[in-house]
Amino acid sequence: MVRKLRQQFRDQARAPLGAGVEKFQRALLLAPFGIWFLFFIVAPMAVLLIMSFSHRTELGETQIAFEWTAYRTLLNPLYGKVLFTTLLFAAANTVVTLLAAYPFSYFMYRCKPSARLWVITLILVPFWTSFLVRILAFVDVLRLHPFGFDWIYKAPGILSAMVYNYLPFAVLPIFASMEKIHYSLIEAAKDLGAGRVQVLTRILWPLTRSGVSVAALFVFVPSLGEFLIPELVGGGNYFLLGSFLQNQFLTARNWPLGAATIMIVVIGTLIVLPLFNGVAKAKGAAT
Amino acid sequence: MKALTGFAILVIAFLWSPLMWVAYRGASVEAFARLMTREDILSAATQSFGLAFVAATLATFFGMITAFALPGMPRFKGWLIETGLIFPMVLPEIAMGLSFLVWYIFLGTPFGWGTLVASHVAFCFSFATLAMKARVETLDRGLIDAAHDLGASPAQVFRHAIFPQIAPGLLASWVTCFSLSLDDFFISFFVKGLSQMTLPIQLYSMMKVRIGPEIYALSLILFCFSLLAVLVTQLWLKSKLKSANALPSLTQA
Repeated sequence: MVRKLRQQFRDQARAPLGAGVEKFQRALLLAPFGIWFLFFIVAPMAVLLIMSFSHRTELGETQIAFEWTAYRTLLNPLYGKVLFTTLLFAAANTVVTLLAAYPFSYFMYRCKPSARLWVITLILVPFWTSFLVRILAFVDVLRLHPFGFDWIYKAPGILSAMVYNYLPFAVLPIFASMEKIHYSLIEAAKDLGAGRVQVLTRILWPLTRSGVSVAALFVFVPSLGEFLIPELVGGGNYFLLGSFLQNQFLTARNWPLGAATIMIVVIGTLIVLPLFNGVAKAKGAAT
Repeated sequence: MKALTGFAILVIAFLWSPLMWVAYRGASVEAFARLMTREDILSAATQSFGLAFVAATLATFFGMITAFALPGMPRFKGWLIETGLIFPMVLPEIAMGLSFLVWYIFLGTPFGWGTLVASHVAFCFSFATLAMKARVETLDRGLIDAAHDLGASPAQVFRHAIFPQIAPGLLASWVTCFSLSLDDFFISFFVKGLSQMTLPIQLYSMMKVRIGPEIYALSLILFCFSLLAVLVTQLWLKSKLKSANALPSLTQA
């Protein structure tokens, strides 16, 4: 009886809609999520999975079958190279972006609250401007050879365009995790004789690690599928995964091969995602 | 701190200078006159804005419903749902677009406004839910209970006790979804019918051929639009929440 009452109290304390939210009401509220998840996530992925094991006829049609041809084709060094180049660009993009975003977030953290608002505005406006407009602008500036850099249609051009596009994505989660740190903590450390390096390694870094990992996730995985940047900034000189997928589905019509490639990306994402979400969760509960 | 400020100015300059350059090139009467004659661009813009409006509204509505179910979820279940929501946000957009493409082909659905709107709502849904989540979690329950006790009907409770509290979240969610939908390239690229055209696809096909002055004029308009949207949302959220921390909540999704 007491246990039941306690449970009831706990339920009431949790329910946001007042005492009335019961199990079936929650189920009702969760219905859109369930339908969305099954219809737009699980089912399309299942179709892709089946397709990845299917057979491609000489004419480029896809027949349902069970064979490993597509996955075996991917082991070919030719495709391995595409994957490797893509991973390299995505990793370089993540490293450079985070290296720029971290000090910038710290700058925002140290700003006065009134100035902070304007700094955030300065970050948000490019972030909210159409992706294509940003790429167009970047390509246009690269064509002018700024500061003597001849980067257009070259690897550094692609990388800088990626950093340009992903920087705000990285700043926001890192800043969100920094914002929670009370400045007195850093002052106390300084009073106790910690140098700059120690403040960074023993205070800032441990408390912002979750934000950094979220930022890394949101930069690395989406940049694996980058298509417009290599196409428009790279001028097609670098053949990355995004162009490969587009090619397999629309031009070469090898759907099983394209589906198998997506499956590998999906499985990779599914492996890292719970880790990152778990880290963020544990940290979130601690602060 | 001086070196840090210098670095921050460099970063801001890096982010803004290309946009400023394009804005400068677009700010001419000739460019705008050329833009006005391009009916294909204007039609794509109308379609894109209409699509974004519908998608943002629907996604915010469904996101709100889902956000209400989340607080007080058992730990593991809540974590599972959250991971399910984040998955499509992280997945490269091209993979998401292609998965929709094969799914609609499998279903035999004709490509058109139906598939376009459904797909846009589907990919905005996660962002809408997570933008609303923080608001719903901090709802003042006392106010809602008081309204109940004072005899308010469920509709009145929502209108007077819940809605004012979640309004900033709704706005943040709607604006996020609107700009996501307006910005989307891949999902539209794969699921639109032959008679639909969205602004990013139009821009892409134009950029592949030649960048004319009308593109600069269009870029200037889009840039000003996002500038205005950010400023208005920020000022409104700031007055609503009365704290400088209003902004991150806009983007924490």
